Amino acid sequence: MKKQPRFLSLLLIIGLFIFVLVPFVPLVLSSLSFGWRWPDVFPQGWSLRAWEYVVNDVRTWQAVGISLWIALIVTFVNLLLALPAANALVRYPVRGRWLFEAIIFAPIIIPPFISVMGIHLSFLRFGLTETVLGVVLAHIAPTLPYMFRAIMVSYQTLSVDWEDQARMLGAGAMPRFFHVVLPHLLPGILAGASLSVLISLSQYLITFIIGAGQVVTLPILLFPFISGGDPAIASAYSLLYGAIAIMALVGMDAALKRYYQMSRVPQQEKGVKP
Amino acid sequence: MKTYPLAALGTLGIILSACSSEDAGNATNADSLLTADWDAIQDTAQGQEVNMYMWGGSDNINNYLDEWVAPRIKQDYGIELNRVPMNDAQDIINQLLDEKIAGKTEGSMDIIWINGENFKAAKDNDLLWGDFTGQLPNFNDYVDADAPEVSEDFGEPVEGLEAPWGKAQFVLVHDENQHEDPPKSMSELGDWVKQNPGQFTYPAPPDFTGSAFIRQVLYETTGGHEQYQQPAADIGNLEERLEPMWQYLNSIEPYLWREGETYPESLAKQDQLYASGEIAMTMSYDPALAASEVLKGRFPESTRTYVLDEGTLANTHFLSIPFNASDKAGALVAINELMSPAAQTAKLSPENWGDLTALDLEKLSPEQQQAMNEVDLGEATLSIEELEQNRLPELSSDYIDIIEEGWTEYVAKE
Amino acid sequence: MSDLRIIDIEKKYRSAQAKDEASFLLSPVQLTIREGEFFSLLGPSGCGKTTLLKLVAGLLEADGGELWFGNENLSNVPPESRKFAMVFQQSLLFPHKTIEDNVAFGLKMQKVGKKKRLNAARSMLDHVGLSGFGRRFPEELSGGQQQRVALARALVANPRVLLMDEPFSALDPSLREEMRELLSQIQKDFRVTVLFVTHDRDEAFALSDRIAVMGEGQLRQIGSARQLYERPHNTVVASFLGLKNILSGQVTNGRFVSSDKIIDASVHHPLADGDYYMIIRPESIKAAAADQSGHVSIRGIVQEMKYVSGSYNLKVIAETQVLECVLTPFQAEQTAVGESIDLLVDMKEVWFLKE
Repeated sequence: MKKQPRFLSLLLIIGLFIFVLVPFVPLVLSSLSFGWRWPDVFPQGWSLRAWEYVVNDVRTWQAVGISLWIALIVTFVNLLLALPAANALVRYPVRGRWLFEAIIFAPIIIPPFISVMGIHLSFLRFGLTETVLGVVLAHIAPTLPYMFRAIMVSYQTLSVDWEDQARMLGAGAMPRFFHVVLPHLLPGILAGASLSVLISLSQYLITFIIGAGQVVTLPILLFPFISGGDPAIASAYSLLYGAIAIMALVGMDAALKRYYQMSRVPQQEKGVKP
Repeated sequence: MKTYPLAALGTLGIILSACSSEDAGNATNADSLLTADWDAIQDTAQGQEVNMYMWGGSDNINNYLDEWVAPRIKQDYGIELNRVPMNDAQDIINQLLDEKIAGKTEGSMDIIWINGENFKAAKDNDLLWGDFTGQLPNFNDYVDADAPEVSEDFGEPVEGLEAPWGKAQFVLVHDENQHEDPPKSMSELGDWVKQNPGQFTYPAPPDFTGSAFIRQVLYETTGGHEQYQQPAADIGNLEERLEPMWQYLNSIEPYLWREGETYPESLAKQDQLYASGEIAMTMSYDPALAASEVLKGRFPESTRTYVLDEGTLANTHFLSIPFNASDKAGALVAINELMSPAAQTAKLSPENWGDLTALDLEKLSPEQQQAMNEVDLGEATLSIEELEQNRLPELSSDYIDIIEEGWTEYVAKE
Repeated sequence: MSDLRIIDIEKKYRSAQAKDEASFLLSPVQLTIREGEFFSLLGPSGCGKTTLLKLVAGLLEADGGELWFGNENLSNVPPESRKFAMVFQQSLLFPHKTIEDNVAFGLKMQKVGKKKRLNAARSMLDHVGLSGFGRRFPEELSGGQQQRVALARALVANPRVLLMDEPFSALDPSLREEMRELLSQIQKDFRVTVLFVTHDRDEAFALSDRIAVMGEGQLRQIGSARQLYERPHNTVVASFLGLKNILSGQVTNGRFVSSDKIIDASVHHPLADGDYYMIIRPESIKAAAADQSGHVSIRGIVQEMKYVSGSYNLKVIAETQVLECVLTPFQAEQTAVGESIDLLVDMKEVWFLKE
C-alpha cells in the first residue's frame, strides 16, 4: 500500500532526470569529441580543443558577465514597471483595460525582429545603439509581458482584505507593500523574474542589432559557431550557456527564498520546533 | 504603461546626442588621411582602438586575430585591435545602411571583412570610406594592383575601396583510399557518377559552395569563362547559352545521392555526409578547409583536395573601412599590418588559419618567398603554385541570382 | 467622554445621481457608542451593517457626515491612523510571519521595540489561551485558533475601538459558542469599546450591551436585547428577531379584535382606537383550557411539533392564523400533530404596534 506511491514517484524522478539530462549528453560528447562521424554512437577520440578555446578566451568571461548584468538590470526594470501596472490593472476599474493588456502582451505575438528593425533607427538617432543601456531597453519588450503576467496573476489572488487588515493595524502604504503585498507576490515575482532572466539571456537578434557587436553577450559568441559548422565549440558554448542560465536561476531563487525565509524567522533560530 | 520607457528613451536620447555632438569634427579631417604622409598616419593611429567586424565562427581565425595579430599590432604601433564577432557579413552591411540613414557619423566599425555581393551592396550605397589602398606601403610593395583578382571583386571594380587580405579557391575533396583517380573535368564527372551512383551530390543553392559548383559547371559546359566578364544584361541570348548547363545537371541528377530527389541544404550537411562515408566527394571554396577538418578528426586522414584540369573559381576577400569609421588612421595601419608578409605567412599556416595569401609571390624577397613556401599546408591541401596555376576568375554577381533562380526552376523542380 | 459618535454618515451607490432613497447604500446614520460598550449591528445580509462598519474603520469613504472619537474629528483621518483595530470574518493572519510576529505587528507599526512588542504579544496570546504557540506559523493552527490570534493581534496595541465583522461566522457552531465567551471575557478585562457586526440574533443577544437592528441601509431600532425583543418598534424588527405571531386587528374602546376574529380581548395598556398589530411572543402562550383572568383562549389544530433542547416548538393553526408557541414536554405530550389544542395567551405579555 505504502510502497506503491514511493515506487511511482521514484519512477517519475528517474523519468524527469532522463528527460532533462539526456539532451545534454550529446552536447557534452560533442564538445569533447575528436572525429565524431555519423554512424558512430560515440566519438572515436577525445579532445579538449573546444573547451580550451571557450575557457581561455577572455571574451567568453566578459560575455558571461555582460549577459548576466543585462539580464539582471532588465529583470529589475521589469519589476519596477510590472508591479504598478499589474496593481493598476487588477485593482482599479481601468477604461480600455484590454488595450493596455494588448499593448503589454504585443511583443509576445509580434516577432521581436520586426519591432527591433523599427527601434534600431530610433536608437541610432538617440545614440543608444552599441550601449548596454540600449540593449537593456530593447530586451524589455520581449521580457516584460512574462513578468507582468506572472505578477498580475499573483495580484489577482491577493484579496484587498489583507491590505485592509494591515491598515487597521496601523500600517501605512510602504509597510503594507513590504509586509503584505510583496510576500504574497513573491512566488509570482520569482516566476516572472526567472522567465525574464532566461529570455534576456537567450536574446540573439535584438542584442545583435541594438548592441551592434559592441555589446557582446554569450549568444553573440555562440551563434557564429552554430552557423559556421563547428559543432564542438558550439556545444561547449551551449553547455556553458546552460550552466550560466541554471546558475542564474538557482541563485535568484535562493536569494529570494532567503529573503523570504529571513522575514519568516527574524529571531534567533534556537528554541523547540513545534 | 508603455509611455514610461518611451519617455525615458526620449530624455536619454537628448542627453546622449548632446554628448556625442562635441567630437563630431573628427569625420572631416579624417579625409585628409587619404593623402597624408604614412608617418603622419602612424602617429595619428597611435593609441587608437580599432574595431574589426568579421565573421566569428571559426576558432582558428579568431585565434589568429586575437593571439597572433592583435598583440603584434599593439606592441609595434600602440593600436588596440578589437575583433567583433559577427554571424554574417550581410549583417555588417545592414547595420551600416541603418547608420547611414540615421546620420551616424561616429561609427564603431573601423575595419570590415567583406567581398562579392556585400562589397557591391556597400559600394552601391556609399557605405565605404574611399580610395585608401594606395596609402598602404604593403599594398604598394607586395600586391599586383592590376591583377584581375585584386582590381575586381566578383566583377565589381574595387577602385581602392578595399584591400585584398586573402584568397580562396574552389577545390574538390575526395578520399584517396577509396577513389584513386577522381574526375578532373565535368565530362569525367558525368561518367564517374554513372559508375558510382549515389556517391556524389552538391549543396543546393543558395548555399555559397553549391552555387559555386554550378558556376564551375557553367564554365565547362557553355564554353569557358571569358564570355561572362560582361554584365549579364549585355548578353542577349543568355537563356540559350545556359541551356547546356541545365541539361548537364539534369543528366547527372538520377545518379546523385538519393537519386537527386533531394540535395544537402548546406555545405555543413554535405561535409557531414562525406565524413560519415555516405558520399565519396565533397567540395570547398576554402582550399585549406579539408586539411583543418582532418586535423580536427572529422575527415579521414586520406582526404585529399584537387582542382579541375581547366581550373577552378577563385576569389579574393578584402578588408575595407566604412564611411563613418571613428579610427580611420588606426584602421589603415592595422590593415597594412594584416597584409605584411609576416602576417600573411602566419595566416597561411593551417595551424593558424590556412588562408591563401593575397600578396604577389613574385614581389616578395627570396627569404619571404621561402618562408611562405616552407609553410606546411598539410597533405590534404594543394601547393600554392598548383592552385595559382589553375585559377579562374569569378563572374559578376548579377549572374549568381540568375543561376540560382534557374537552378530552382530547371533542375530542382523537374 | 471618549464616546464614538457617528453623525449623519452616509454612503451612496457609485452610479447614483438622483436623491431618491434607493440610491443609498447607507442612509445617514446617527449613533453614539459609549466608551467600553459592546455594541452590535444586527441585520440580514445586504442591510448595510458592514458598510457602516467599514465607514467607521475608514476603509470606505463616506459621502457625507462626520465621525468623532471624544473631541477628535476622525472624518478625514486615514484608517491606519485612527487607532482602531478590526477583526474580519477570515482571520487574515500574515502567512509568512510567526504567530507572535503577527500579534506584534500593530506594535511594530507603532515602532515599539522588538523585545517589548514580543513580550506584549506573548502575554496577549496567554489571554486568548494560546501560550506557547508564538513560534508557529498560521497554517499550523486550526480555524478557531487562528481567529483567537486575530483577536489577540487586534487587541495588542490597545485600540480605541475594536471593530468586528462577523468574526465567528466561518467557525463551527460549537466553536462559536466558545469564542463568544472568550470575547465577552476579554471585552470585560480590557474594557475595550466594541462595534460588532452580525446577522445572528442569538450572537448579538448573548454579547451586546446594546444592539442596532438594521435593514435596507437604515437603522431600524436601537436598544438592549430585551427592549428589542419585547418592545419592537415595527413589524420588520419583530419578524427579524424571530417574532412570528403577528396578528393585525383593531382596537376600539380598549378592546382588541383581530381581523380573523380568533382573538377578542381587552387591552392592558390604554391605547387609542385604531388599527394595530398584536405581537405574541411564543413564550407567552400556554397550553391550557381553563380560563384565567387576563388571558385569552384560542382553539386550534397542531400542525407541527419539534423538540428543541428541553422544550417543544409547536405550530398551531387557528382559523387562517399560524401561531408559534413553546411548550414544556409535559404539556406537549398531551397532544399530537393533527389534534386540536386549547391555547392561552397572556394579554399582559403581548405587544401592540400601531399600523
